[in-house]
Amino acid sequence: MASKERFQTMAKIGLPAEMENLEELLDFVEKEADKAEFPTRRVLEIRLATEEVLVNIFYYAYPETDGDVSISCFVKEDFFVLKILDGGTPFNIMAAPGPDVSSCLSERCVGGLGVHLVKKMTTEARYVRENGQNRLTLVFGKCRQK
Amino acid sequence: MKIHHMGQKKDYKVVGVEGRMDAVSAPEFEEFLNALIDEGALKVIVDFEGLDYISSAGLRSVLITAKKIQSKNGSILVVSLHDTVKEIFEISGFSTIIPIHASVDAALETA
Repeated sequence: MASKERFQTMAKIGLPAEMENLEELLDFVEKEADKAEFPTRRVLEIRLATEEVLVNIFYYAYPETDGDVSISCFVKEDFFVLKILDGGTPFNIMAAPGPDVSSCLSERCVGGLGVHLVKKMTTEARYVRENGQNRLTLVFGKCRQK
Repeated sequence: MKIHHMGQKKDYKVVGVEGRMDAVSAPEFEEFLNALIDEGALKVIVDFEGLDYISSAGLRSVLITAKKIQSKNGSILVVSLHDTVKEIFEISGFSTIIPIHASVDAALETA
């Protein structure tokens, strides 16, 4: 882990973890990724990964309770880094099972796609449970690794 | 997201979708297509030319709709996907289960 000075803090947003705040949270992330001069296509991929994580937090970290989610954006060297924190039920999206993307339509179960997309879109993703919080770090290079 | 009727082409009802299909807007797509299916439309072309973004919630709605049409022996085709949207379809394995065509006309030629 690099020392803190090497991170350039850009911006932070915190809102109740509700579906009605999804667009505002995603617009914020998109604007910051734009400011970091990431390619348009990559900015959409960053938006996508963030949506998948947030929707999971809305459903699984706070299934029956209310709470907040915060997102901090950093730029570190050529990477755009998001730290997404919530105080809900311990939930590690990166350990959730993905879908079988090779099955045919009639067999395809509806679910698990979100985590699959997060893994595909991020350069690196790390989860820790710390101080009663789910802390997810998503790292994005300038291009998606295929 | 905006969704609208684009008329009838041969046996197919054509529906256009614009903007972003995410967790907020995907239910609207599902409701719109459900209403169409309930009215008896079993051959549907979804034109995604104006679609800039799709997330798993959007894909899920497309999948649920496709399954519903398939269970009635109908067919659903998606056309005119942007490269970014097409890539999401491919990564998710959707491009092998839902027919994708370059345009409405191209879809009609092979349908």
